[in-house]
Amino acid sequence: MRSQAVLLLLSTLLLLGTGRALAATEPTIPIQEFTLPNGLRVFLSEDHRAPQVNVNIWYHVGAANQGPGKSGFAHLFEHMMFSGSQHVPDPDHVLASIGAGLGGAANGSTNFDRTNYFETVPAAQLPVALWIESDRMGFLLPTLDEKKLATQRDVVSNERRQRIENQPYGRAYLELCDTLYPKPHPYFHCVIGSIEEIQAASLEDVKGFFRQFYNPRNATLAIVGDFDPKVAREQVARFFGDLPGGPDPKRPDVPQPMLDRVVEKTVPDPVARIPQLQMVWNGMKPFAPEEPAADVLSVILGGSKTSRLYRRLVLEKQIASGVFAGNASLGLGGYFQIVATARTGHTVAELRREVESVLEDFRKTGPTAAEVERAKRNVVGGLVRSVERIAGKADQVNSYAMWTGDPGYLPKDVARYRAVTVDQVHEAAKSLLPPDRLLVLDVEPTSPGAPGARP
Amino acid sequence: MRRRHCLAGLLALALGCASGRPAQPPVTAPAAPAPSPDAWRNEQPPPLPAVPAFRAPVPTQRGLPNRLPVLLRENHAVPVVVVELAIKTGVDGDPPDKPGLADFVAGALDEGTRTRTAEQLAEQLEDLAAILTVSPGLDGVRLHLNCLSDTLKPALELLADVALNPAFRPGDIERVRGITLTGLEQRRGNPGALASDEVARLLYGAKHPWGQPAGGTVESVRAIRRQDLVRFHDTYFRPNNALLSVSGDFDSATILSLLAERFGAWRPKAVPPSRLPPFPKESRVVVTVDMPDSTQSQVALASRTISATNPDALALSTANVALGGLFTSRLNQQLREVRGWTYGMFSSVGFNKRTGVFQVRGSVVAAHTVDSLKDIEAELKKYATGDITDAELFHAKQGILQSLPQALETNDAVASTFVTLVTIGRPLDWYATLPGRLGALGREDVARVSRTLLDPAKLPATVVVGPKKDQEGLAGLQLGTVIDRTAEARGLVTRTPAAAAPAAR
Repeated sequence: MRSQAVLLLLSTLLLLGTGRALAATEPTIPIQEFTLPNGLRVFLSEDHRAPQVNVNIWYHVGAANQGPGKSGFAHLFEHMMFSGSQHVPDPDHVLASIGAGLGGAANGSTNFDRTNYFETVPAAQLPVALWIESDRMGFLLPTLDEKKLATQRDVVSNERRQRIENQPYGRAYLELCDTLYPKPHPYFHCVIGSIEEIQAASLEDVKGFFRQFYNPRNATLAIVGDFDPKVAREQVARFFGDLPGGPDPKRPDVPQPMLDRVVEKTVPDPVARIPQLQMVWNGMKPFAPEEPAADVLSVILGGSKTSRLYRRLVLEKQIASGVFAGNASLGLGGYFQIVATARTGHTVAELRREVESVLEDFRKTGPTAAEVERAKRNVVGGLVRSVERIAGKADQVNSYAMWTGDPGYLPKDVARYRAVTVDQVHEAAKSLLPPDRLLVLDVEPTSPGAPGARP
Repeated sequence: MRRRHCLAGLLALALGCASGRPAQPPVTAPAAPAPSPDAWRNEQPPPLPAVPAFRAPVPTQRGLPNRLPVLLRENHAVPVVVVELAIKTGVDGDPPDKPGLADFVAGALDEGTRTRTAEQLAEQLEDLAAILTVSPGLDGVRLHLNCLSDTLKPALELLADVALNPAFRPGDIERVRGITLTGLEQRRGNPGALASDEVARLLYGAKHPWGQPAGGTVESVRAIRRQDLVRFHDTYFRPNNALLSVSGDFDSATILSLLAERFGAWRPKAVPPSRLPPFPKESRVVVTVDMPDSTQSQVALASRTISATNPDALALSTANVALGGLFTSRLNQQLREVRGWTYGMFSSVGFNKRTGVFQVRGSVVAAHTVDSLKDIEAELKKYATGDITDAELFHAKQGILQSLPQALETNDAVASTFVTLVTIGRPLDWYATLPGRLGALGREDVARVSRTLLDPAKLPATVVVGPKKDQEGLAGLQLGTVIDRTAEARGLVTRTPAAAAPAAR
C-alpha cells in the first residue's frame, strides 16, 4: 500500500511535467441521487462524451428468491419482461425503431441475486426508455398470456442447451451448484435451472413473482450518459412516480450449506475433449470484509500468466493447457474455484497432485510482497477500465447500491483493494481453502474419439 | 406514438376490425367508459429537443520515417491508452503445407524476447497493469496493448520488444505447440468451432490457407519448426507491412517521439506479394458432422459475397440487418419467437481484405433441425423477392446509425476499428460519413441487393453439426449434395491436407 502511494505521487509529478492535463487516474462516478415517494432509488450520472444514454434497472431478485422445485424461474421471468406490457405491447419493436436493436444495446440478465434490464438509447429518446421500463414495472400482467409463456419456456430451454449442455464443461458447472447448494436451496441447478422445472412454470407463478418482487421499492434505477439532470428528474417522476411502491422488500435468508469433507465427483461430458479438474470451496457474500483479500488471492493463484498455478502447471510441469482461479461472492454465500484443464496426454490425477502441492506451499509461506502489489494493481486497473462504457458505469452504480447502499462506492472499492496486506492474503489462503473441506470435480470426456475418453 | 395509433385505431378501421366483428351501430348509446388514469401511457413519448449528432472519430494520419503508418485519436475520458500494432499478413501468409503457422507465430510471440523470458515479460506487463493480446486473423496479426496512461512509455517498450524481438526459444515453442494441439483437440468437440471450420472449407476451398481448420491441423502443427516461425516473422513483421493505431489519453505533443523511440529503428524490407489461390467455384453442398450426444444442432448457411469496397456494400449490410441482424429481424422472430426452436437465429455480413461473407447461423433444438432449415430457407426465399418493408428499412438504418456511439465507445474498439477500415480498404472517415450515405439509401437499393445477393438458391454452403439421427429429410431440402464429414472433422481418421474438396467440384 505504501509503495502504491509513492507510485501515484510520482505519476502526478510526471503528469505536471508534460504541460497538459491527462485524465484523472483515480476513478470516480459522480452521482446525483434521489428517491421517489414510492421508494424507487434513482441515480443520475452525467457523461457527455456522446449523445447517448443508458438506462439500467436492478431488481433485487434472482435465483435466490426461487421456491423449491422452481429452478430457472427468475430467469424465465426475465424473458417475460420482454413480451410486452399493457401500454407497450411490443417493446422490442419500439427499441428497434429508436435504434436500440443492434449490438446488445437493449437486454436483461439474471444472476443468483439480482435481475437487470437495460438499454442504451439516443440521448433524445430517454423518455422512451423510461416509458418501456416503467410500463413493465407497473403493467406487465394485463397482457400476459399462456402462449407467450409457452414460447419463452421453449426459448429458455434452448438457452440452457446452447449455453450449458453444448458448452465444454457446462455440465460441471451444474454439478458445482448442485453439490454446494443441495435441494431445497434456491441455487440448486444454478440460475439456468432444469428443463423439467422450466417447463413446469405456470402463469400463476409468473403473476405471483411479479407482484412480490417487481416493485419500485425492490429496485434501483441508474441513468448514465448525455442528459440534463433537471429533465431526467422530471421524466423519471412522470413515468415512475405513480407506480405503487409494493411490499417491504425482504432479502432471502437461507443458511449457507457448508462442506464438511472432501466430496469427489466424476462428471461425464460428451462435449469436452480434454479432462478438467475443478476444486471448489465454500465462499463468501459480496463485500464481505475478507473479500478483497480473497479476490487478490485468486489473482495470485490463478488469475494470470505470473500466477502460482500457471507457473507450476503450465510453464514448469507442462501438464495443463490452462488454469483459472476465481472468487465468486454470492448473496447466499459464494464459492472459491480453481480450474485446471489438462494438456493432451495428461490426467486429472496429475493436475490435482500439483494443485495440492502449490496450495500446500502457499498455505505455509504465503505470497510475496511483489505478488500482492502486482495483483492489487491489476484489480484496480480493472476498476479504472470498468467505467469506460456508460453501460458498465450504470451497472456498477446499481451493484454498489445493492450491496453497500452507496452508489458512489467506487473510490472506496479501490481503497479496500489497495489496503490488502500480505498477511491478509496468507490468512485467506489458510481459512478459505482448507484441504479437508472441498468439492473435487473430475470432468471426463465421453465423446467417441476423445483422447481423454475411457474405452 | 404513430405506430400505436395505427395499431389501435387507424389500421383496424382501414383493414376491417382485426377481431373480425362487423362494425354495427349500437342500439343504444353505451355510457362512455371512465378514461383510465393511465391512458396517457398509451402514447410513445416524443423525443427530447435535438442534441448534436454523434460524430464518429477520424484519426490523424502520421507516419514514421521507416514507412510505418500511424493513426492517432486523442481521448481523455479515462486514463487509458490503447495501441494496436497490426501486421498486414496473417493466415494468408501460411504456406500451403503449413496451415496454422500464423497462429503459431502469434501464440509464441509473447512467450519470450531476446532479453526477456516468458515469465519476465508477463511480470513486467502485469506490474504495469497493462494487457497485451496477440490475435491472428485471416488477413493480419494484431498486437493489442491496453495500458494506463501513466505507464504508456514502459508499456510501449514491452509491445515493441514482443513485436520486433521474439526469441522463439525451443522450450517455449514446444510449450506453445502442446497447448495449441490441446486447443485443436478441444475444437473437435465444440459444435461452433466445427461448423466454422466446415464453412471456411466450403467458401475458401480446401487448398486455400483460409479454408484450413482454424489453427491448423494436428499434423501440420506437429511439423512446424522454429525456422518456419523465424521466417514468417522476418518476412512479414516489417514497418512497411504494418500499421500503428493509437486511441486514448496520450499527450499529442510527445506521442510521435515516444512511438519513434520504440519503432523508429525497425527496418523496412520488401514483402513478397501475396500468392493466394483463387477461391473455388461455388456449388450447393450440405456438410454434416455427427454429434450423437448433442441436444442441439449448430446450423450455418453461407456464401462469399461482394467486398467492402463494392458500392453496394452498405446496402447489403443494411439488408442483412433487416433479415437477421436485430432481435426483431425476420429470422429470429420466426425461429425463436414463433417456433421456440432456438435461443437466437441471426445473420451477418463480414468483410476481409479479399471478399465478404454472408452467413446465417444459430443453434436449434436437435429434434427440429430439418424443420429449422426449412424455415430459414423459406424466410430467405421470401426476403430475396425484395419485399423489405419501409418499417424494416427504417429500423435497420436506425440500428446501424444509433449503435455507432456504442460500437466506438472504448479506446479498444476505436483503435481496432481503424485497423479494420484500412484492412478492408475503406476510408478512415467511413463511420463519420456513414449517416449521409445511409440516409441516401433507398428501399429499392436494399431490395435489389436482397434479390441479387441473398437468394438462397445461390447460397453454396450449408453446414449442420448435430445428431445425425435428427437429420432425416435433409437431402430432400434441395440445399445441395449431402456430404458426411464426421470422421475427418472429429479426428476419428487422420486429416489429409488438400483431400477431396467438396466445394471445388
